[in-house]
Amino acid sequence: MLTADRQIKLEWGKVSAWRIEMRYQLGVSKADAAEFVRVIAGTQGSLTWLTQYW
Amino acid sequence: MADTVLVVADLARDLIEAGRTLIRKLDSRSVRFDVAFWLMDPENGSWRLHLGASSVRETGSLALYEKVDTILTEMGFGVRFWIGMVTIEDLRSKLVQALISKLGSAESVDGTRLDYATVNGVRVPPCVLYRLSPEQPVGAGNASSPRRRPSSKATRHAAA
Repeated sequence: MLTADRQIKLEWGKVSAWRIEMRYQLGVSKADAAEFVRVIAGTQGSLTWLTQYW
Repeated sequence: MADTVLVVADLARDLIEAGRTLIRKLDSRSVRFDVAFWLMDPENGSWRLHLGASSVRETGSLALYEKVDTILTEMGFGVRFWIGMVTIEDLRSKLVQALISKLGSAESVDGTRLDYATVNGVRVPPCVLYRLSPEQPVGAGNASSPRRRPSSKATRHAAA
């Protein structure tokens, strides 16, 4: 079981790898895209956390 | 007429070596990435270590981030080299495909540096290569410092 801090760190690694050109990248798999959406907007996601503070 | 010389921020030598150590440690734990290279972001001059594996398509990348982070934490670089500087991706991006098609069949690319090379029509920002196919060895003692490909060149932009 990952600690919350470690989970956030790992997910931040994935989120921070996103680049604007990726919007035009073809062939992204469903598994990879779904994982990305989850770490951004899931109940434990970065955006979900961030919106508590704005 | 004004000339603008694009300044390329260099990747610190200890980070090049640290990336090589990381890949060797991953290999030794049977976490073998098909491609591995440092790539500079031209917008801000920062460098990220790109690790590519075909398994990302089926399983996503988060499990691999965890394995890489475990070793990075053991290596003890702190914020100087941490998981937020790593991109784990599948092999489908144009840039990765261009690099593989051009250099993936070479015996070794470890330590090769490209500076704004154009590879198969794709402009490649500065990068330092370790591996572009699973067969290529990393850290076999032949790459203590980056070597530049003869075809690569620093870019000089001229604006009227």
